[in-house]
Amino acid sequence: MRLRSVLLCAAALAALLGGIALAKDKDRFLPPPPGPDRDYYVARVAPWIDANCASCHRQEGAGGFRLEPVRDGVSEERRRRADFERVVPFVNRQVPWESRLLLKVLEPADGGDPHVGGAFLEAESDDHDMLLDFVSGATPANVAPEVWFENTEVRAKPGEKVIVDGRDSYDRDIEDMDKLAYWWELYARPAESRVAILDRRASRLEFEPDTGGSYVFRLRVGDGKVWSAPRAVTVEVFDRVKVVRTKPGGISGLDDLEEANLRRLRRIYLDVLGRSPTPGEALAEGRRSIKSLVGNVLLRAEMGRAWVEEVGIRFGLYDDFRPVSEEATDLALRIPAENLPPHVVESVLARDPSFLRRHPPGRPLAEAIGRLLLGRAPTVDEIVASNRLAAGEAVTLEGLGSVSDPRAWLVKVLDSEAFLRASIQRRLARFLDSGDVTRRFGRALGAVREGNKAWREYLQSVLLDRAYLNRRTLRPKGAVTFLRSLFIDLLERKPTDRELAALVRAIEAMDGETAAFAALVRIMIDSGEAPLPLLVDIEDAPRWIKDRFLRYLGRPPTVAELKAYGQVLLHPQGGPEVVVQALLTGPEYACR
Amino acid sequence: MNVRRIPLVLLLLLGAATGVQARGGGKAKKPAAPEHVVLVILGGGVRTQDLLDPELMPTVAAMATSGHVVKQVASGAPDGYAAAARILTGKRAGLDGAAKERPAHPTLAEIVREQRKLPGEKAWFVSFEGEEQLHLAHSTHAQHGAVFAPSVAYGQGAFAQPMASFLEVLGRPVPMEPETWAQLRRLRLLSRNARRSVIPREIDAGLPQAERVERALLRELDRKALLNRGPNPRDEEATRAALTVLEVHRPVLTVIRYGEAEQAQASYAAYRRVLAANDAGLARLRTAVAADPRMGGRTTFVLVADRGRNEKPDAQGRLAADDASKQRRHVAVVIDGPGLARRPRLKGPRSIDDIAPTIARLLGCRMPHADGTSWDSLLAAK
Repeated sequence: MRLRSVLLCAAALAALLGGIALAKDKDRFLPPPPGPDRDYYVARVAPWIDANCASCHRQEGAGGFRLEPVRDGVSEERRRRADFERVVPFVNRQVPWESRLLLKVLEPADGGDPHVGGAFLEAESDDHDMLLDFVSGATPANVAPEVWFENTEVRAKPGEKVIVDGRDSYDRDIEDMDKLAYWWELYARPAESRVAILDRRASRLEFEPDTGGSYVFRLRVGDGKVWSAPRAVTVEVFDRVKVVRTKPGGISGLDDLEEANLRRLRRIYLDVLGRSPTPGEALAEGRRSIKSLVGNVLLRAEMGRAWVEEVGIRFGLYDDFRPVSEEATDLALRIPAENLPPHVVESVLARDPSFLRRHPPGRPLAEAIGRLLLGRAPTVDEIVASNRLAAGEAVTLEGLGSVSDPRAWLVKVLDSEAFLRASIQRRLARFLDSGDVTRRFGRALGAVREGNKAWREYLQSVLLDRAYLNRRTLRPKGAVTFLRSLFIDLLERKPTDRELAALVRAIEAMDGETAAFAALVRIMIDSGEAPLPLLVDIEDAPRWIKDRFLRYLGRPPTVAELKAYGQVLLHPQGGPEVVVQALLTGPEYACR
Repeated sequence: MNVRRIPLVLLLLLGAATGVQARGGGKAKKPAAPEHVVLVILGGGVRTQDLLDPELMPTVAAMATSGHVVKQVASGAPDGYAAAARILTGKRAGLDGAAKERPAHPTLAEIVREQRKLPGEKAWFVSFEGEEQLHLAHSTHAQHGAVFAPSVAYGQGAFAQPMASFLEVLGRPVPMEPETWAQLRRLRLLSRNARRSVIPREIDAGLPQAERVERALLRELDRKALLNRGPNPRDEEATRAALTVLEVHRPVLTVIRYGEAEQAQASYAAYRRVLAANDAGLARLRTAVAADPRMGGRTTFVLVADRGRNEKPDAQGRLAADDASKQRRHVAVVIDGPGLARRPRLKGPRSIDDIAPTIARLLGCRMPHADGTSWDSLLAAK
């Protein structure tokens, strides 16, 4: 009771102080999630590892995971205990279900990572549960509980009661799930919101969003012995948004919108959220003021996720190299909540231990620091220095002074003025042409130095600038935005981070700007997953073609286009699929 | 003018005119050096007599006729992996083939990428198998290694393999009709023209080069890829992957490593079927290269077996690799394309360690780490 009063007072104080966007008070009342247990490993996991992993990973040259070499006179028990120490770095306590130990052996269809040795487990198998229990902190006497949500993304309107149900959470070694304890935290909310959690211990969370934006709640569950790792659920709240699902042959109604408004909306979605809007979103937001739209979009959790995904993919931090630090895991949510500037966002990901694993000391690190962080090729001196650092020698670098090890070099670069400038330029280049980036750079730098709020205001001013909104020339979408847009426009869903990484990897292996995407469009169309109409479902062919132009390109067709697309639509070898394929593989769709 | 001198004057005039034509813009001369090299390693052990059998391997025989054959090339490697490592690095130093370690010394692809300053997609290693077999693509050398590694393709191909899980869920596309391609070309071009002033130059959709790549990718991905039931399924996958790579990237260096000839250990008849199918694959590769205006006439093919096999099959119909015959200890190299001398005179002992330095030389590079030496007399003087 006393605790609850304290929490209520804290929430009220927060509200009085004007809305703290990111609540960081939560975990101080709970112990951290349990780490992997040695005894459980030796008893349950080690036999499985010995049977499936040891033949490769007990030798050198089988990736970064290496088990204890076999030595004469060392008992099996002792060797397994030594193996445990080598396994622990592959466990992520904060997000155990994303531990590399688990994902490397899981079927790709169940979300597993690529693995040279192949996949050994399906998500439904007992062995998978055993490994999941291990990474979640199971001991021989107790299995840790796990949070589970049916949906981790919920949509709502302001003022509408939202229920987030935590009762799908479970514990494999207790029968009565009513014995589970719950602990909710409000992890992020829009800056103007005053929403607070009234009952942190309820199994279902109820709240009424008071403003549009993203609300992030995290839940932990306890079984009386340990508390699980937290799992987040995002509630996206938008005014007037309702999911409009027209029949495949139907008309979305986008022709009711002014063309200029649709074009601006698409530009902001493509640049900030890294995807095209759905027809429902376009209809709901195409009529609101541009100022309100920009303010709202910059507050969304999706904006943070899109940015982190793009930087992560550019840094090569996917699959085996997925970020593992708590700072990196929370980064996407902190971006809209704290208005983080570019150098902070990139720096958090570059400081993650995965970055140095992905770009090991020696020439790869010199290349990464030069090209990825400083926006230039590495100098000969830097390559030599990186090789010497890899050999354990200390070096002196121009402008950075004495550096004793590769991590110290990386940290000094991330703290440098050159990195600050390069990161701002990269972020501005997302929205502006190179000439405008140069012209506006001074103001952007000033805003970043002034603080996070000034940076957000500056970014808003860029997006509200007439020159930006009315620019006629187009710019290439880039791989990630192209892929996300294809998923939205064809499959009507966002890609998962694994799908995105796998497709980026495939597309990077191919030459040319657009051919790989064109092949992908064909796969999606032939999959049967894309809700495309049959010719007989289309009642008004010219209007349907115009609707598809508005959906995919944000403009109506010219007279010549309408005629040509109409002919293809009605041709025996053509049809709606070829019309859609032509639009999504044409040069204009490749641009934003 | 003396009438008897007229023929002489005409001859001089003709000679002068021919000289001008050769230096000027007349018929293009055959290039002295290749712009592309395709190295095919017939892994699994192949006897020279089989490699050069015109009935079994007609494409190789045709290559041998128009190009050169180097026989009696020593291959002392204990297994196919170690032999391929020697072919690719030019280093005699033994590599533990069982452990499938990465070579310690830079591979041909790393050298070519470094010295020619090539991007990753201009050097490829295509393998009949993934996993550890891909370790041969690049070395662990500190100055070369991963930084100059070639791109790799195996299994379903460079594009399809990373997408395997995605394809598993969504399925593979159906091959497109020629009429559909024509319709797409027309509509894309229309959009391109309608928005010409606002579309950035680097966007190539709607242009012929983009369609060429798109067609190659869809051929790699389409449902026919699943219908692979020949005698050499893994080598056939490598051929398919290599065809896409050649068509899409036009690499400077493409290394294709087959491995199905290993079936000889179980059956001599199966081994011969594999060789015949590999020869057909080689024919497809050569046809694709010849059909490409930017590769045809500018590409040299090098074909080598990684090691030999016993002189005769045993009583069970198996062709093992454990006797002391020349057929087992030696292999043949067949090389055909621009950049070769007309009448080469190779002297002295030669080994598979010489292949990487020779190809490097063909491409204007040097392999300072190699133990082998370039067969300079085989190459045209520059």
